[in-house]
Amino acid sequence: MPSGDAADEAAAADRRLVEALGRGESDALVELMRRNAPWLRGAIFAAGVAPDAVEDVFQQVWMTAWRRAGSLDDPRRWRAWLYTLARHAAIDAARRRRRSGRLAETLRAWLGTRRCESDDPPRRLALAEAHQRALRAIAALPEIYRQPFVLRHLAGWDYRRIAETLELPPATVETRLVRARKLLRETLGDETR
Amino acid sequence: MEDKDNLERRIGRQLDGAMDEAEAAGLQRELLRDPAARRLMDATAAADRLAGDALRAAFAPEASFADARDAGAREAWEANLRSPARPAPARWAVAAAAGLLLAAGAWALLHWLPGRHDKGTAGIGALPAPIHAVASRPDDALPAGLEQLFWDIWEPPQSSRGALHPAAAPSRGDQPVPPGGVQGPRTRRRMIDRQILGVYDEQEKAVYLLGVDHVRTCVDATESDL
Repeated sequence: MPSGDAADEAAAADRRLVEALGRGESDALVELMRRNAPWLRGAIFAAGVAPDAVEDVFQQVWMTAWRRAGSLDDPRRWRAWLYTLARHAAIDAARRRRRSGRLAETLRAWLGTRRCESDDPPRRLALAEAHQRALRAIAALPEIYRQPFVLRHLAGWDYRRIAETLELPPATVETRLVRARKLLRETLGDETR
Repeated sequence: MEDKDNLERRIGRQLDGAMDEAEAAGLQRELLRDPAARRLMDATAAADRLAGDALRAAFAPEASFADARDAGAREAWEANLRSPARPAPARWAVAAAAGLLLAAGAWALLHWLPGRHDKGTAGIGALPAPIHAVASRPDDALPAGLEQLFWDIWEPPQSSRGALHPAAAPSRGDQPVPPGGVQGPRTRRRMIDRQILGVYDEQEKAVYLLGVDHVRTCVDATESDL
């Protein structure tokens, strides 16, 4: 986890950017996007969006954030506000996708073509397959466990910050992370031996 | 079972870096003493690492704005942000538009008073530069007074309405000099085409004017050597 001081500095910088966003400064939005892209993409995925649709929803979320920034009363709560926007957009997108019945096929197709960084083809293939199974296992977690798990890995936040974002008590976040890891261990057990 | 739940929780805190030194030392002692606890720790850590790697590979590639797709997305975003989709105009723009409207009203009143028509200010139809009025409805036409006002208040250096000007400094719109250069005495002429764009904001009931000068400089041999 990032050290407390560094995390607090980053949070203060984010708050300043959010205030600038409220004043309509587009550069602040671009910088906020850059700083928060990984966890927000993860939150969208964790809310049930297929990986190949995450980018579209991600952009919708920022468009909504840009339009509604003036309505954010307390800039200190911006992360929870953004998370809520992401979750609503993700749920809408996932619902549309499920209706079309293409989620599984799209996920398979996307996982099959996902680029992998290794130069060793057999190892690259094995790693890609392991990542596919891991993503499926994460997608199969109940959402209440999936969300903190994804935020923990993609944002690197501590329990307190995840709790602020999900608007939960920190102890609940910790418990849900334990459950998520237990379920993943049971699903991926053979994989990791 | 309670022991195992407790162990799971402590393993989780260890993986999350949330343990203090005393807690970490206690867990370490238990792992040394109990092979089952070690297996649980190893399996949990391995699954956690694999899942985290998969998430990062999928959603947090390094330099996410550096690759082409994200660079394109960023450009599109910036273009979107600078489009008029944002409803509230900046305060200075509202004030400037209001000022322009007031000044235009005053100018139009003066311009149409008897005896004021032949002061040398060309009417819109006589202007050499193309005039474009962009409005939210096809039947919205910019009042002539506004466009004329714009001509009057925005005079770039060394220019006047579309006329030719000698000896202007080169600009980005300059034509290239022919190979070998222009021999002998030469004249530099600058031509300016001015376009005025007017956008009507229905929410604010205001007209925004934007003037764009297209400047072209030509270098010609003079006829003095003929």
